Amino acid sequence: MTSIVPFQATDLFTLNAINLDSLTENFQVFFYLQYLSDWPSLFFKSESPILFNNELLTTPSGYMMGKNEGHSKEWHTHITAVTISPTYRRLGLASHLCNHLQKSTEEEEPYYTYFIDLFVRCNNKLAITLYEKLGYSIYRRVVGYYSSSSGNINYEIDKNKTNDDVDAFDMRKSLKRDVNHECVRENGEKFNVLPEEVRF
Amino acid sequence: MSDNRNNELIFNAIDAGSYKSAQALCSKQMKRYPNSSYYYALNNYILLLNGSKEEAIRNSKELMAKIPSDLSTLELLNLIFKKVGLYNESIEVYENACKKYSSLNLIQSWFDLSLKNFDILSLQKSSMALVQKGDNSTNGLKLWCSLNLLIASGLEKLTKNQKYLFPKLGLKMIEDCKPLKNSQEYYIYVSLLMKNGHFQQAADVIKEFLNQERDLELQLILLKSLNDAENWNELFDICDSFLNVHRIDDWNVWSNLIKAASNLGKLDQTLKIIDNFPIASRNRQLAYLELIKHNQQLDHLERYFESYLDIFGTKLCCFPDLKPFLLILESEKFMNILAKQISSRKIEEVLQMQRKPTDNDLILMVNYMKFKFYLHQDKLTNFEFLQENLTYYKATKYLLNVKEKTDYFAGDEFLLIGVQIIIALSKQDEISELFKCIVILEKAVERDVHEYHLRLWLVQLYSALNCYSLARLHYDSLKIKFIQQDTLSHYIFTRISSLQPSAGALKDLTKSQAVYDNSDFETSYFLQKTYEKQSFSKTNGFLEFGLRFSNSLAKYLNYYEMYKINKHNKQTNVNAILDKLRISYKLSKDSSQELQRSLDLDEKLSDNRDFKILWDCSILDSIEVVDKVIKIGPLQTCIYLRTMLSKEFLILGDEQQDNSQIYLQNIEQALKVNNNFTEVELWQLRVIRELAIFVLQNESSSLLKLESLINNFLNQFLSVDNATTLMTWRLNHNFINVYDTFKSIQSFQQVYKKQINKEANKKISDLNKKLIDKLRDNSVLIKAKRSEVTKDLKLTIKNWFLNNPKIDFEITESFIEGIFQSIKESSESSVGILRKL
Ligand SMILES: CC(C)(COP(=O)(O)OP(=O)(O)OC[C@H]1O[C@@H](n2cnc3c(N)ncnc32)[C@H](O)[C@@H]1OP(=O)(O)O)[C@@H](O)C(=O)NCCC(=O)NCCS
Repeated sequence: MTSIVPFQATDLFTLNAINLDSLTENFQVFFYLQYLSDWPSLFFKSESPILFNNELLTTPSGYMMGKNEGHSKEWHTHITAVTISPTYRRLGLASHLCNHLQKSTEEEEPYYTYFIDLFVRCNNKLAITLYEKLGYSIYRRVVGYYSSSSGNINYEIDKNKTNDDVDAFDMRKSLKRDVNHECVRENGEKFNVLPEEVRF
Repeated sequence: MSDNRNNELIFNAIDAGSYKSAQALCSKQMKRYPNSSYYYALNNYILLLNGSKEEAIRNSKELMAKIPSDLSTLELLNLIFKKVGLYNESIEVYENACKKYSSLNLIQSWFDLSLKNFDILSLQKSSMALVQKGDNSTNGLKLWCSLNLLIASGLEKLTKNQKYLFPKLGLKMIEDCKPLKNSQEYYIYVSLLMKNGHFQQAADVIKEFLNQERDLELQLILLKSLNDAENWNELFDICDSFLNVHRIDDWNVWSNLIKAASNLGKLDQTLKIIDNFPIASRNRQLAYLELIKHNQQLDHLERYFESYLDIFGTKLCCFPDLKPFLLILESEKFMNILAKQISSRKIEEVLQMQRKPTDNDLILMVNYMKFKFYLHQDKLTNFEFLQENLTYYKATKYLLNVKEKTDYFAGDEFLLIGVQIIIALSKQDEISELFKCIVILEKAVERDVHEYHLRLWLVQLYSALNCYSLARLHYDSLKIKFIQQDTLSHYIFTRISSLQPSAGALKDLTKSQAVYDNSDFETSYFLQKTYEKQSFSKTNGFLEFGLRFSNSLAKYLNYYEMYKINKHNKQTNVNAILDKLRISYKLSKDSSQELQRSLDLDEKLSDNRDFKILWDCSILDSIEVVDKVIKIGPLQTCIYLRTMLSKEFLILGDEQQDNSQIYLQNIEQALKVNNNFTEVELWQLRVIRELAIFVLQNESSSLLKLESLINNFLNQFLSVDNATTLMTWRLNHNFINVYDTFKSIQSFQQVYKKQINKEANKKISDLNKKLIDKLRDNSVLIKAKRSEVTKDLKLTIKNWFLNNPKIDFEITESFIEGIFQSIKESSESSVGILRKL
């Protein structure tokens, strides 16, 4: 039993089954609030009814945090987080959330973006498979992305020294508006960039 | 009022708690600026802080009657009235000023302050004033105001008149804004239509909007509005079209379809819709069961369970999905269907180790065990069932070697079921069972380092065994941060001041509490953004979040623990914490006094703690017999906090006489319904009660009662002969609480020395001496007694793991030795605290 419903600030109290996962990022409270206030329709959750201690409740089974950003041809939808509680994995839920986001931003009203993208740790094989199945491809490798995500630019990073544990793949899927598929490229995994090159 | 230097001095004095000197400085300023309302307000504020509540209120009301308009004065008056619970006055201060002076600047700052305070009613009132005074060339202010009227309509504290008026005014205001431009504006409009009971109209408006644009929020309101309108025909048709035309395979749609169908008696037609839905999705399979739940007339019930299990028996969602439907089928029949799955998937071969298990095998096996456990309550105390779970674990643990390290391994659930059985099987002596569980789970976590249920169980088990440092280790490995500190920190900090009143624990608490430092500011900042960016559908959630986070019970329970640790360590600079606790005391209303009406979020503490997560594996129920063994005392509720604070405030004696009587009453009341406290906490409350009655009511018989309380119960709490007490958290908890009682009696004697005559004082001192002598005598015995128990315990545990023909966890002697050693070190460090009392 799954419904997709808009995320509300109070849902932040209910995410433990999802966010205790070691690959799921826990952000500071303001970060979630910013997404909710800036992109209210791009932050949503999946939920299921459960019977707990004889009480019928609904529990979030996963969520999607997205945003829109970029200028002209770079105007795109970005997946900041997608994550599913262990109990509800391998049901197609993550795919469902990604598709929902795509549908919400691909049409002319109200967003009409050129492509969707996301960053995924190069060693997160499950997630990479998931995105590939959904039609995403690697656009570039961001060397040292996860070692510099604290916001400080790390000038020591050498573009040619790759490390799957701290590098991210920037994966993209072009949308209807990108008629000529200009926003994606082949063999993107061989295209290395530094973190400061991917700011919009 | 522009005397910044002097203002700073006054506030420094306030911050340092030197209210007398703050008052002296303020008086000087009042003389210097006799026409400034600000210093009068400030003077009242200091009076309030200094305990002269009535005078502060009287003066503030007089000042309010003069209708001051200076912003700082208004802010202070608002604060004073709020602090003393005069909510209406706190609003009137601004309302009157805005009416009289009608300055936009003033109204704007009222609105801003209301945002800062998550004050819904003031938001409504100030935005109304903004509309009346402000720039209405665009719809901006009207939209804000209609949104605030919508949100305020949900408040409990409204008068009858307001309840009637707000939705009407809101609707009128948003209708003035037509034509509406986007989904967020439509959100306000249809929500207000709903509030006014115009359900069908709301539905019609949404349908029209959805023809142009997709919007999830509005789609959900559409379903609700047709539900509320009881327009089952249209609800049925809309759901049918969502499913069959738009292919929106969503449980909200399916469940509404079935609800409408039941009301219309369209059973066959609905069955056809489900049959014809082109994807055998999880929602579709469960829709059959939902239909049966509503209309218990379908034949071949089993068939629908079978078809669900065929697809989803190998998914972990299977258990929570089917659990609510198990009532419609006899357990035996259900288990037979499941057994068929087990045999058709040749699970026997896996159990016989004839072939390697697949992921699907594993999950089916886990589901099988969970349903067995859930449907047969006797399995909880069935040793064979423990063996069976272990067999299943061993047969599938190979998958641990092939999975991604960070991926979830469902097989750990066999062990978590096992652990619950071991605890439930324990008769009286639960210690060896706790040790066994720790050995088992430590082994499991060594193999599966990222599994968080294992870690949380270990946190709980180690805490029960008085091993804070080990509990901490696992807790830290979960990288709990930010909002999780509010919902999860109770796993590590419950009653911590009586277990580990150390500088280290205080540091941990302080670090964890930092999450609250900027939270009000951040939330109100983004709350404001929801207005500015027109994310109206989020505003209510932000307000609710802000209030729940700000008034969090966990936050204040943790402050209470910090206060107690500080007190234990003779830290005197506790004013800042005490101020916070005074806020929580006001919010921790005894629900029985408030039964007349339910409280709005700004008037009560919010319990955001997550107790469910520990039981989120296994059968999704907390098991009482197990819970009792692993948790650190009874659940701490608002009443717990209120009672404990009453006790501390009584001991501090810094309030007026009538407050002391109320504190005493709170304790009396709590002692009547005493399921919030541990035995020793109850005892301590009784001791303080008798002392207070003796002092405040001059009741001499209380001294006799005090004597018998101390003499009769001392042996119980300071006994070192009971192994369960000696080896668990109860040892520290009892000793430290008795020590705290000793210190509290001393403080009591000091604070109320004028009311206690010499003779009585001597008697109390003698009794108190008895207390501390006994405590110190017994604490010397602890080490030897514990090492006796540990020796036997180690033998028992080793025997159970190593020479047990019935069960083999594949655990080596050196592994057990290692666990024992670390438990020894950790618990000795906890117990070491007792020697210093
Ligand atoms: C990655 C994650 C989001 C997948 O969620 P999900 O709902 O289980 O994914 P889906 O069911 O939509 O899976 C789609 C496909 O991805 C692949 N996949 C997903 N999980 C997999 C796993 N554990 N093993 C192998 N393949 C997997 C499969 O090819 C799957 O299709 P299939 O089930 O038909 O074989 C989930 O495992 C998760 O929350 N992980 C932790 C957080 C995380 O890593 N998020 C991504 C950060 S960028």
